[in-house]
Amino acid sequence: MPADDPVARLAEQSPAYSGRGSGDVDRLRGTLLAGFEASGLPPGALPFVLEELETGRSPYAVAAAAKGLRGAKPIPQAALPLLMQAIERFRSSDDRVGFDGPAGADGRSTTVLVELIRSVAALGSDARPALGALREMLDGGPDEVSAAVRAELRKAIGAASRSTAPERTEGDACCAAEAWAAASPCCGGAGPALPGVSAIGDVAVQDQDGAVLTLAEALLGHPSVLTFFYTRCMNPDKCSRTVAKLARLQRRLADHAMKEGVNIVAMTYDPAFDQPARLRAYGADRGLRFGPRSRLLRTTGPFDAVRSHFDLGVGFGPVTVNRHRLDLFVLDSAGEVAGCFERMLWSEDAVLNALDPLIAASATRPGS
Amino acid sequence: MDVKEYRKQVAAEIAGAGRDDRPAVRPMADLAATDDSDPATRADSIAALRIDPQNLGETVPELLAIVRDGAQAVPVRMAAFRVLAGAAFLGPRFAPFRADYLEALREVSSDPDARLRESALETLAIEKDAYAQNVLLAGLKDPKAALVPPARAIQFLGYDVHADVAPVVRELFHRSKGAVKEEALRLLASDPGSQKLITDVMLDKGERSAMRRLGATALQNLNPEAFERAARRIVTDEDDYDAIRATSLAALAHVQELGTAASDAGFADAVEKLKETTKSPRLRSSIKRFMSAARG
Repeated sequence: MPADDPVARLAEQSPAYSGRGSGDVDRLRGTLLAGFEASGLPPGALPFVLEELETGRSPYAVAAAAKGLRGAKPIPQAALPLLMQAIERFRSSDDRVGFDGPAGADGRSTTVLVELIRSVAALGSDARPALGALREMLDGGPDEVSAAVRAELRKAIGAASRSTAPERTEGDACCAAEAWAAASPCCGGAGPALPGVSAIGDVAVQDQDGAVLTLAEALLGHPSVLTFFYTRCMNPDKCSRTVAKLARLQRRLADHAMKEGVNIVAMTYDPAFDQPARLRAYGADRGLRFGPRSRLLRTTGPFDAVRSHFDLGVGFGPVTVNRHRLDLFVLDSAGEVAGCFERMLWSEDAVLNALDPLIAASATRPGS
Repeated sequence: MDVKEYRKQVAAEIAGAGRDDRPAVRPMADLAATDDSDPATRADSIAALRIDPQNLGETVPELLAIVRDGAQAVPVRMAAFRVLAGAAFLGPRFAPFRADYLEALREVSSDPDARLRESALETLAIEKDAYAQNVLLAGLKDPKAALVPPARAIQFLGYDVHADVAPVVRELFHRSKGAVKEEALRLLASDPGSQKLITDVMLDKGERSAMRRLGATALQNLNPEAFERAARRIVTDEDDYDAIRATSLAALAHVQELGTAASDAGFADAVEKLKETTKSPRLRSSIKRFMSAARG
């Protein structure tokens, strides 16, 4: 994909963002996303929009994603539960954003909640499943939502009401995964053609106890779950949630007496700051139990080799990570990538499903 | 006391706890209409406002209008600002007004009055507001554009590691002194890229002891092994001040007690020999503690 392709410029690792601060990256990507409202949303940009709706915390970026979504023809109905999740997330933290002029005090003419609800309205009758939630927000009265948001809610309720589709009272994010799978070849465990870990097996890493080993020692010999995080991540739905989910995955594997047969590893994007004591505290606080098969790792040298090997969706500013996507890899005993989960929140069930055949193969291996 | 009587007493106390015995508050509209009050009286009246979570729709827009109104006296605007800041803690109840509140703060961040500017920018910085971060950073780069003193700007920017200002602040550190230099060191305390700078501060005998202590705390947090190496250097430097040698040795003793000390053959011997050369009671006390920990 050419570097000046707008979809390529959305990627976290785009050279356009290297060395820039998080705020700059948010604004640049947000401008791109918002622009799709008028120019049309390319299919390749849909995953970025859905990601922002699912886990985004920046009012500007999420509002931009909501606007960009309206450029999709048609807007996938599967975006509805993600829009409703975002509305709930910003319900108590609405903020003004601006797309029409300079980002000065006079350039913020809309709010993130307004843009999200407008996108719900744009779904028309496809938004009917959200009618209950929309009415509940409106019925809360002037003490619950602002006048501007109430006005958009009325429009959205009007648009969604013109339908005979069944109404539901709860959001259901299941269908968002289908929209995502249609948009990305990586979702759901079908791995792209990434090289195995052996190519970077001699990268030196250090775990939460200060033990130094190689990546090969950490990941080969057993099936592995490998994901990435950093302790200074301020988005609770990304790194913190990732490590907490890893801990739950660990407990579920233990329930099946398989924990000794699977490596559970998370590597930090920020090895200079995430020293062993910090890694240990972060993992322990989220319920992770450490052992020879379960570690949080930092590279003892630069992280670049790992980043480029896995083509990780991460960018770096002048101090630390400026933006990253969720990345989780399922590896077989030889360190080959058997599946990956990219950008959207992964489910423990899906990761366990991807692990099952690898665990079975490992169990029947001679000497296992 | 009889149990039933006690129960009645507690129930009465609980019922009474919900009562607000403060004088009834005048409606916001009345306050706004009292133009003939002197600013101090109006400010006091606004400060005494009882925020009713059920009735924010009447109060908050009026208060926002006062904060924004440059024609109002600054004490009146500051009083309104403080009441709004308190109301913002009401969470979901304040939600309908939050967007307008933040926008009002952005407007006020360039107000002619320094107190209002600083209060607005501090509140926005705590919210990790990108607009505030941009204007604060612009002020650090160009003093003519500064809206608050540089030490405050650095403090406010330090609320968010993703403000990514460490390179600018590092430069400022090298050409500043006093409060600016101290705030710069505080901000850089969590920046691995500043580890050498922090270590140099800790080791610099010409630096104020408060700054050296700040450096030591920062280095211990950033890189415990590097801290131990630097602390050992200080302890064995007979030209350094006894106070800081004692503090460094006490910190090393603590690490030793935790059992996480990095190994350094010969250091314990060097510390033991210090007993013969120092007269400082503090240093002697730290030596005793360290040797006790080292021997296990």
